[in-house]
Amino acid sequence: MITTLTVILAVAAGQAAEPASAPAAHTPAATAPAARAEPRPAKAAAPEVLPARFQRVQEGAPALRWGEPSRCLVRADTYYRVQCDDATKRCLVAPDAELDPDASPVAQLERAPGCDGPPLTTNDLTSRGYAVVPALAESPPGWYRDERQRAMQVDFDLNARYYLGGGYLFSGGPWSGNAVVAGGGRADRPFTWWNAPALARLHFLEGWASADGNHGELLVFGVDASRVYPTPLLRLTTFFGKPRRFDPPLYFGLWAEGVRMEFLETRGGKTFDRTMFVAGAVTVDVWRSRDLSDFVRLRGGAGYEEAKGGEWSSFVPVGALEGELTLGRGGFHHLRGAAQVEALVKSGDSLAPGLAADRTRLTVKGEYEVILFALNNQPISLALQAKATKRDDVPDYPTGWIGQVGAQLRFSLWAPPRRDARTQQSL
Amino acid sequence: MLALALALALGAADPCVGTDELGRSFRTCFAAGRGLELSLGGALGEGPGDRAAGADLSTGLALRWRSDTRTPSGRPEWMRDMAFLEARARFHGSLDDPRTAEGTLWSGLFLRHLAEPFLLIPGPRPIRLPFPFDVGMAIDAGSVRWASAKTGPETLEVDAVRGALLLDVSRHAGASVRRAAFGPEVTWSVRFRDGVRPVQAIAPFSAGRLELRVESADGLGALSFTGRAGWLLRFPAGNGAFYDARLGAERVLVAVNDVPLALYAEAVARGGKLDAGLEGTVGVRVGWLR
Repeated sequence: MITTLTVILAVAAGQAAEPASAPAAHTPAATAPAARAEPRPAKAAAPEVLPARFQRVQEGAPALRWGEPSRCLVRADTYYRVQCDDATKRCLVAPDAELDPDASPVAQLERAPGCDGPPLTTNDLTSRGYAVVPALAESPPGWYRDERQRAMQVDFDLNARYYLGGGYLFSGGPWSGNAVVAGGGRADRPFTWWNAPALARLHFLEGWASADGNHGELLVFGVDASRVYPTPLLRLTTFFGKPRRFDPPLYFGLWAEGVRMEFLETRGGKTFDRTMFVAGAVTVDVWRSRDLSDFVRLRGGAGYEEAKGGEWSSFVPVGALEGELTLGRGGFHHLRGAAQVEALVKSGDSLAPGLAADRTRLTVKGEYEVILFALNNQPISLALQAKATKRDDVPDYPTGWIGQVGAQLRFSLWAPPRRDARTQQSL
Repeated sequence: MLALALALALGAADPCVGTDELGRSFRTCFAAGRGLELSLGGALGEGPGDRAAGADLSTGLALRWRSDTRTPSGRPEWMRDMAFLEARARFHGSLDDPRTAEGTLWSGLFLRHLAEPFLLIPGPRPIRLPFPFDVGMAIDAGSVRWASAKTGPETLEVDAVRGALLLDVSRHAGASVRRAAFGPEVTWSVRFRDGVRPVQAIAPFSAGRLELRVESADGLGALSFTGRAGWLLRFPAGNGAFYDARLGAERVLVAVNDVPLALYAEAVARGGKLDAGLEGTVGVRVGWLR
């Protein structure tokens, strides 16, 4: 069992000055009763593995464990941080600083709490039989330290970000495609819903526009929420042979959007615009990951929209099959897709000539986004998109299938590590 | 006596509180970039669309919020400046005769500072390459510019959203430089004018933005510059270049009940596919909650 170095070492308290990053207060461990452990002979090799001057951390060195307290250790005015395992009598010791290329300390450690003082000495460890192992300082989940102990984020949650991007979209139909600019915010928030874990997915100011200004889409705000069902809503028991129980995936959730705008150019060069002012739906997750971040679901609901600045309005029942999936250790690969059917009914009297009272929009779209690199811990990603639509709700517009494919480079701000990001175990 | 001793103790503890020879305390520095600002001054020059000319009255309002963050070891991490309901108006003669006005519902400028900026190539063993800039983003949402119908058709220009990716070089420029950033900008705006079909304009990263802000450590003086220029794609027609720049300076001269009163000066230049204007404003500004 791993613990902080117990207090046998507290006897050395006050033998050296406080390190810059170390709080002066004693930790609970520093007053634990294990201080009465028997002293053991010192190991002569210890000073060699823990030099008086820092060295760059070696490849393969183990990392201190995140979330466990680290004790300060001083050797010849050089400060380290240490975590000891009482069971194996092994202490992991890492420089308590970021290093320059010559292994000189240049800054305090980022993304690590200060070590607990007062500082120990190597003799406090070796005289009690602890082996000293050079190591890497601990880092939080989703972060990585290099041999100079500089921290960098290597796990990104693209479901918590705002991005701006640009790229090119090729299109069939009357528009052949153009450069596009895109942006969008996403914030997934775990919360408790009826005494069960749940996840809310918020979308804000999400959309794109073509460089010629003739095509685009903008969602002002959207939210949907999924919930864990500790007690299944539906249980099936079969009695063919040995009785068995099946829990069908019946995970209900809610979905809503406020103000989704679309504008496009018709065959005659005129602008068509529509605004879905409000839409709501019930979702049923067919599959989802344990933390609810990935899912495949069915969505059914309805919305209200106006076209051409309010010339006519429609009630729009909607059905969709959609999903999101994150792949890779660092959350670098993302798959998103949807197939949606919208039926437009109950329009006003001023419907454009040539449009039927009942109209449909069919949309099938998919997207693959991969993180290419990161600038100052902010990911730059490439998104490949494909979309096909078939619609008869736009006057003077093709009613057959129209395909679009495109690619975008996206710069994301925020994007913290995912909630289940791993911690670095070694260099 | 106890109150006096407490006041003296507080004054000694707060570097922004001075004490005179009678033991009375007063604030000597202020938190720039936050609080409620009210401005009143005189404007000179050509307003947009010739709607204002000569000497006019200028007013301004802004609610600013600054919430910087630091790493556990004390390094600056996020530099976050926001403004809510920032508005300016120009009046001809009296407050009954507004000629131009502009406002922004919300604007934010976020810069993330690192000890050593870098470019990370992901992989089993990530590769870290040096990078000379900090990065950030600026977003303005709900900006409007209005020109009255007094001397021409009434005009309303709505910048629904503006966003810029920023590279910041202030780390190389000294502690008083809060930001010195530049980067590409995307905008989407709609212009409404009496008797004319609305004109949409977008700049799909075809514009650039420059942000500079210098502040004295005591918050008494500040100099700022925001410049935007580039190419606008306008629908239904009329693509072209534009520029929009604002230079401002402010110096706190007195404080009333520890509320700073500053002298400020601003210069605005705008043109190209935007309504042309070149005007300067000088006046006084009150800053609460700084």
